[in-house]
Amino acid sequence: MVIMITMIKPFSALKFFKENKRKGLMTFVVLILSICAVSLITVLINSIHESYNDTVLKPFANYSIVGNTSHDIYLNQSVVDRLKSDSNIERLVPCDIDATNVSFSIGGGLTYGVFADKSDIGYYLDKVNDTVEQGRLPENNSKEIAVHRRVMSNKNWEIGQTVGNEKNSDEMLSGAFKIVGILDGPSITFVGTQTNRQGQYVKNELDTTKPINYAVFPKAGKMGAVNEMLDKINVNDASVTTYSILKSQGEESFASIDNTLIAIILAVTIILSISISALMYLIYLQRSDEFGILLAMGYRKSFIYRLIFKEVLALNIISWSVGLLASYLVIQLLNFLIYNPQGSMLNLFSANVFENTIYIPVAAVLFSVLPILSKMRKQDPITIIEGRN
Amino acid sequence: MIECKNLTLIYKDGHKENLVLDGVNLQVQNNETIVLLGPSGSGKSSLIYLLSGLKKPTSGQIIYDGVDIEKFNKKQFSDLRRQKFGYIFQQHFLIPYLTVMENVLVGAPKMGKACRNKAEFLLHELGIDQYIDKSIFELSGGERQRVAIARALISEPEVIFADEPTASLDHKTAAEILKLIKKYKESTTLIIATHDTSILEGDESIVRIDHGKVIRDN
Repeated sequence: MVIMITMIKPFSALKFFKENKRKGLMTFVVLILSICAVSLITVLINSIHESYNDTVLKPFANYSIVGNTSHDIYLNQSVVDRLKSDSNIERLVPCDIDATNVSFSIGGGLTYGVFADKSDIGYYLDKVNDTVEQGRLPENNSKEIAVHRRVMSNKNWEIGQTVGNEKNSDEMLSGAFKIVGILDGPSITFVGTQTNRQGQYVKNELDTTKPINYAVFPKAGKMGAVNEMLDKINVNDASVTTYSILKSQGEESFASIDNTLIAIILAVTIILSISISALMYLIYLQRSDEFGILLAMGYRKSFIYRLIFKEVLALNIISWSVGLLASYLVIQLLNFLIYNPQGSMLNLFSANVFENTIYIPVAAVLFSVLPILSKMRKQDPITIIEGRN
Repeated sequence: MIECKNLTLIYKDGHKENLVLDGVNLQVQNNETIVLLGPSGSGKSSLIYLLSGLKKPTSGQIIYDGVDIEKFNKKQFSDLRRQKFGYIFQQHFLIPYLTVMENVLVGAPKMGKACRNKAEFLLHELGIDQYIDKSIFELSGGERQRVAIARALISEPEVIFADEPTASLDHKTAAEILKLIKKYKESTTLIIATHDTSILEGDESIVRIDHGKVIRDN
């Protein structure tokens, strides 16, 4: 006689699909593919948001820019006076702003750079928490720049290289600048001492004591108050760029992408839930004999309901986990082949990936279990025993 | 003891009413073996369904150990069927994705070492212990019905209801199966519905059913 050591429990959440792999396979594969698709789309859209956040928003978390309007040469004097008298402002840095374009596989954006006196550049980098990783800071009155390593990587720039639209017409950065340093830190930016405009400004013997732009650095904890004051400046007096303005501009431009994502998730969830529900219904219809005989033997309907629920739930949880694992592997591959060489990285581990993908198994479980339970509710064991089902 | 009083069952088929059991009175003593004999459609299976609580009568009473089973709530009814009754049907109704051992344990009211040992004992006694971990697809029809018998016996029921348990088997296997049911029923009441008198051994009480009426042979 066979001696059995382990306890045997005839029914468990995994038993049916473990012993009937082919029956669960279709559902399993469909779920994995859908979860993979939704998580990848979410991650790609997240990367667009993150690119914008890293390249545009993060540096502006610590300062704002107030500049002249298109019809003025200098920054409006009343605005200058107002800024100088504000007790919440720690320092006003006369500067010029320029930008360079960065591109990723999906989306891209602008990275802003600050051109100012060398002593102010050190202060600026300190405020945005960046440091010089390699090389040095640009010297005063030079056509030199130091660039964040992610921009360097994205644009395939090297230290010592001269860049700008004078060298390459596709480049947004106006002029020609030698890269003398590489920056690192949370704020993706670049710094220099003299833009073309500043050069023209000196050359044409304009009043250099009158600034074109100010980078406005608030005192600790006063960012909100300073930005509130800046937001009230009349648009005819100065152009103002603050974190909140850039954020709302970003949200506006991303709204259509975000709505598309919601539409995709809804469509996938609804189509998939109906398909899986139909598959599951057929599988459980074929098990009518099993449930009928259990009812005849005195098993309660609640036991059978729980068993069905646990089986469908287990299948969905496993598919969801495997789907996310598959997404992780695809993302690692995309990072290795495409994103890391561009100086960026896709990241699966964000809350909205889990949120967006969890709807699929939840809807699949509900839409699968409810029709089956409804059918089970009407199950009469005698019709099963007599083969009339 | 199971007793039924003035038991009537009417099946409704559209507007037509079909009287299946007509005022049946029957007493089955503890440990008794009762054979319900009658032609196909005579009401044997219906009487089994009513006595075992699988179906409610149109009128009349079924009294089990002095209690009208109509008074049981859903849980008590479920417990009665699960713990006190055992069922063997014409088809084995084994669960295809479970092993032989697991199918037997489906009939156990509680899981535990004692049940497992009892299942092993029954499978050994029924001559199919070599299939203990096998799929039921590896078994013949007679062997599957033996598994169904083990499943019915594992809970050590007070009453076994067997509805044409040998109908799908050849005569030799059918006679063996009936012998096995009787051998291992121990102190159990056995109520068998059959139309095949050739498999009987002569020690059973015979109840004949015809057109919904029962006549008990003395």
